[in-house]
Amino acid sequence: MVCEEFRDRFSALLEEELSPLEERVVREHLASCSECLKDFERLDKTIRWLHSVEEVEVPDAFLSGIYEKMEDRKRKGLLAYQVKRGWFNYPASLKIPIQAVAMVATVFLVLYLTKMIPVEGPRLKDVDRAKEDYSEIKKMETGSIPRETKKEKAAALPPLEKPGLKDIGPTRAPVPREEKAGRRLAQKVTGEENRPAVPPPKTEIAAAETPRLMEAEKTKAPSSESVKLEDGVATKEKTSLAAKPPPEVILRISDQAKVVSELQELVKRFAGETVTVQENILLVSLPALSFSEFEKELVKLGSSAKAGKMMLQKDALEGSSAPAGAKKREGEGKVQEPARPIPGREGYITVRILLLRE
Amino acid sequence: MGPSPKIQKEVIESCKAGSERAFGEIVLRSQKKVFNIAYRMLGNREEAKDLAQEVFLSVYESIKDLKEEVKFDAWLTQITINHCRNRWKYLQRRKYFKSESLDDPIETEDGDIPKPLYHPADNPETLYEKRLIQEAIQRGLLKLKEEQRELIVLRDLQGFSYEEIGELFQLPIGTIKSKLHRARMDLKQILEKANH
Repeated sequence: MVCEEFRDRFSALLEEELSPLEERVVREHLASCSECLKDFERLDKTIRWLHSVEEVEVPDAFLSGIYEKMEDRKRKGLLAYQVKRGWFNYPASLKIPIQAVAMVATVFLVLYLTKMIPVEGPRLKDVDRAKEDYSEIKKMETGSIPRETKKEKAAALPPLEKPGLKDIGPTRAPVPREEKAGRRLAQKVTGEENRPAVPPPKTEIAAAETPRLMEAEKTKAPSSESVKLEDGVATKEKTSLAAKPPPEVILRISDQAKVVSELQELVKRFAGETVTVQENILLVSLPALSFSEFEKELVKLGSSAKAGKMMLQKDALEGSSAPAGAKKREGEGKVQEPARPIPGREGYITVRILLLRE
Repeated sequence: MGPSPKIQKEVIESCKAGSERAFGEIVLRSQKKVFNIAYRMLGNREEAKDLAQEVFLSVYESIKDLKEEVKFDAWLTQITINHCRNRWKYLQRRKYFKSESLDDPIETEDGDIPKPLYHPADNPETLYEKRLIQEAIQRGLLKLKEEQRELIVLRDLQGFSYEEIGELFQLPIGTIKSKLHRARMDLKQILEKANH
């Protein structure tokens, strides 16, 4: 047994836990080994010193400090518990008012939004319409679109006279077409009279013809044109006055100056106004209600007049890609397109009168 | 140094029922043991006081979970040891013991005192010398490993039996004896080094 093994038994020797035999062997080694004896004595002293260490007194207010900490912990714990509880554990006396306020706020929000949407909608439509008009004007001004293309576009548009569209009423789709036609007329008036392009079909009636004759003519030609014409008339009657295209009248005359002066007087008599007089074209503005009377007087003026339906005929012809009835009349005159009602004069319609010398 | 006076089973049951009076009695009977273990383990009175109070707060909160009232002392010691281990780690993270060495003065009940200029082999005769010895022991304890310090505190300072320590550490008695002997030898070594 080496010294280290004896040293491992020092604590047991000091606590008297060794057997008598083991104790005798260790003590014999200590008697013979001064190093182990010195080490043993130092350990013995260390342990005696440890046993001599006295207990320290507990600081004052130890128990009261515990109670104070206990109170602090209760407060913190209560706070933590309240935070942890969440919405579902709140009492009904608190939850119900909060829910009621939230409900009222939601209702007000919904009402506000539903009120706002109808106001915003038409404004956006107006903006779209204005953009559309502006682009059309641009195109017309630059003349970048050839006439044939416009015609194709017009032909591609679904004809208004289709029965399925009757119930639609005054839709916005025809308006650009009317605008286009009006602008084309304006171009024509300013010097495009000799253009060789194929004009849209027009209707021309002799001055001597009466409205009854006109009806007779229509019955004689039960073509697709006339069928569409009837449908178109029915459709147009349903539309409002403002949406009706302004009528155009072709008069066969012999003395232009005389007829023009008479026409101007006639217009004045009907509380109308002569807008422009340009060579053989007159643009007059008349109260819409007195147009039928004006039409009768126009017939008496010396030439025949066929108003109102002519424009419809023209639309029908365009929609059906120039049917036979239209082709017959192609050579008789120039392209006549309706003018737009003068803005700011509501209840008035613009009538275009084309004078043709016989 | 003997164990704390035995707490009666009825007091523990009353404390379980929520009696603050019973809790106060438990504190008064056990506070010295808990505080001294904490002080020897940490070497600082304020830290020891705070830790001991925390131990009793833990007792108050968890005494309902104590199944066997007869094991209350072991249960209380276990709570104290656990708190000491946690606090020791916390203080180590804060470098609380880093600057301390056996050459530094250590806090006592009367304030700081210089290191003892003696060897364990010397014979401390006077009270002053006794105090120096105690402070030397305390410094030496703080230099030991945590487990070694626990063993010496429980066995040599608090007088726990090997069986009680074996139960606390969940180790065989032989292992406890061996470990304790190693702790004592290391402490002896520390004291010798401190003197040289």
